[in-house]
Amino acid sequence: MNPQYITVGMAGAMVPDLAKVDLLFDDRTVEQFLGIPWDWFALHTAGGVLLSVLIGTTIVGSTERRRVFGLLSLGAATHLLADATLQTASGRSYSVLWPLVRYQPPTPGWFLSTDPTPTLIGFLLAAAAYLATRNRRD
Amino acid sequence: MISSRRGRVTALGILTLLLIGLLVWYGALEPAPSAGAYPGNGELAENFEQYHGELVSASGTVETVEPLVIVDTVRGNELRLTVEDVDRDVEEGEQLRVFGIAREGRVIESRTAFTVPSSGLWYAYGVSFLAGLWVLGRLVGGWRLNPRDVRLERRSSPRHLWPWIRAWIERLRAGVE
Repeated sequence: MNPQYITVGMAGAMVPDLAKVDLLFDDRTVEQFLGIPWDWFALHTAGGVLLSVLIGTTIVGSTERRRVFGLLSLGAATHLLADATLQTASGRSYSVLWPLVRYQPPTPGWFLSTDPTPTLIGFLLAAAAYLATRNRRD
Repeated sequence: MISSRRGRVTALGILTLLLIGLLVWYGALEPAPSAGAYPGNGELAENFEQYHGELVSASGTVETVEPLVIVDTVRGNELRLTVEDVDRDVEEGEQLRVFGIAREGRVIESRTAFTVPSSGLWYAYGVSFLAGLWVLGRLVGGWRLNPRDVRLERRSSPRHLWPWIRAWIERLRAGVE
């Protein structure tokens, strides 16, 4: 485990938010351009994430594959799971397991994406892990 | 195993096509309330009347408080909704997220609603953007794209982001003097 692989884990955590490309090229613009239905949010579901992770796994050399697949998957899974606990008005989260099922599970509504607290908690955990492993690094 | 350039390119092509397939499929999905997939802003903007009497989700920026009117731009169209039965304090400029029954006159009879300050939205997008830049920086520093073999490889001597930024600041400073 070294910084280059940690980066892979971080990249995995970003994968579901590839759906945010919607802010640059929104669904309707793409639909009009291609003449077919389109929704970037598929990238934030299990199916879209799995294919994205497989693309990342394929593009690295075959010696790296197992580690990269594991790290990308771990990162992406934490993001999908965390987002499934976001508070919503309907009390339901998103289609996490799509295209397996359309089901949007009830959400425990633990936090909002606009809330800085989870970022702070994540930062503190990372700092603690960094300090705890300092001796091992040298 | 996929160890050749041709193997990688083929696999990448197939995976990309499958991914595009999912994006198109998701775009064609209709609401499914029994699965918790309620109609949202997209559906309401297209045909509000279709959902009269049904449970829907909606969100928008608060334009006026009395009556409570929210506005959102969806797929190029403006969606303006009046929200009733919200029993909490709401301020202009905040984002309101509501779940309730769609009524005639572009009204949502709220069952559950809450607000998010616009500063919160700035934070969410801002931190996401910065995080993306950070990860990109680490990827560029630690990995290298081999265009000939179409392969992403680990750098044998990783380049670090912070010294690179510092070097750039020095160069700018030297240029200013």
